[in-house]
Amino acid sequence: MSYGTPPPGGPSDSEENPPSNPGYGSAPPPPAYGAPPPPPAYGQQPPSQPYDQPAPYSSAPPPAYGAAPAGYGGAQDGTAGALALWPQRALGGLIDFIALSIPFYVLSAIGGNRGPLYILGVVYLLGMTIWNRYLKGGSTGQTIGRGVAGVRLVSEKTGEPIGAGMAFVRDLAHLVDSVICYVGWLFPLWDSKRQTLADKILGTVVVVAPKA
Amino acid sequence: MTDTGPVPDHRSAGGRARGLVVVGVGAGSLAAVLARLHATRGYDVLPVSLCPVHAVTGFWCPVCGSLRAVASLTRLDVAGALSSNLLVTALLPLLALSVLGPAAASATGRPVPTFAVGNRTWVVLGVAFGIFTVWRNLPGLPLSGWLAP
Repeated sequence: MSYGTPPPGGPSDSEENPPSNPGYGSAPPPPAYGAPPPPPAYGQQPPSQPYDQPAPYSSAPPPAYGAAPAGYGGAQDGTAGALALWPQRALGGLIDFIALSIPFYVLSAIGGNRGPLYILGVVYLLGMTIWNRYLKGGSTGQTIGRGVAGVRLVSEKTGEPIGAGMAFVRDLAHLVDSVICYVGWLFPLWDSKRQTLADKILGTVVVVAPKA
Repeated sequence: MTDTGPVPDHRSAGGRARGLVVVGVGAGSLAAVLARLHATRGYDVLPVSLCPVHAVTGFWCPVCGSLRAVASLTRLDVAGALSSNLLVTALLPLLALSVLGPAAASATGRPVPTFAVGNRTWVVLGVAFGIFTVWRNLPGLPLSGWLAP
């Protein structure tokens, strides 16, 4: 967890990165945390990539503190395809989980407990969640909140949206983020792939995307 | 980290203003929280229990005592902070850096610094917090009273 300066004795955080390639060109060595992943050499895939396409997100952690963002492969911070930072993700989540629930709170406040308006509110909440988080979010990667925030949920391996079923399972997996005192929701602040625990379980990442 | 001197701020005036607003609101919120913690010493900060684990089971969760630790630090009581939550207090400098670094970048227009913690470190942290949690919840173990908040 060093902040900018690689610890002596070698990094412990780069186990998913291919080994450093000393013969690689003349790119300036970025002072990233631990061993930064080299860009994929021309005509050669990193050994850990099972797919025959360029590594979408798995081998390009964001630069460590103080590192120049440019210098090696992978999208840069803020550009489409780059890993989304926590504030953007939080904005999307706040919209999906809180802003879109406001009609339910209003209806249940007006209708009282178990009244028809309350039931209407529950139906709204269920319908909105299923449509927004799973049908829409699973097929396009963008819920309403993620669209406003300009981010997109995709599979780490394929770079494609994960589908309604997996989107539902991912929200179940968010229980793991909550049960450790909600700290899992903060993981993207520090994680090298900006993932929550649910993302790690499902193998998903959230990337910057054009606003909907 | 090498300081390369002043970095040109390429943001638009609106972007700059937005960054300053975000930092201002964040700093104000942080100051309000710290003042509340200082006044309450970290006890009964809100009318409801903040930790569902402790409220339901009575056990101390891994981060129980964090607010009491910060409250102790506002009184410069480092020993009290360490006793409230040893691990969170030990990690607090890094936590502060992970918030203050981006805040400073947002205010000055430098590139936003980011942490890059890999899975192996998460596992180490998870194991450490697991042991810590068991220890502070078993009154028979030595020091468990000190480790509990």
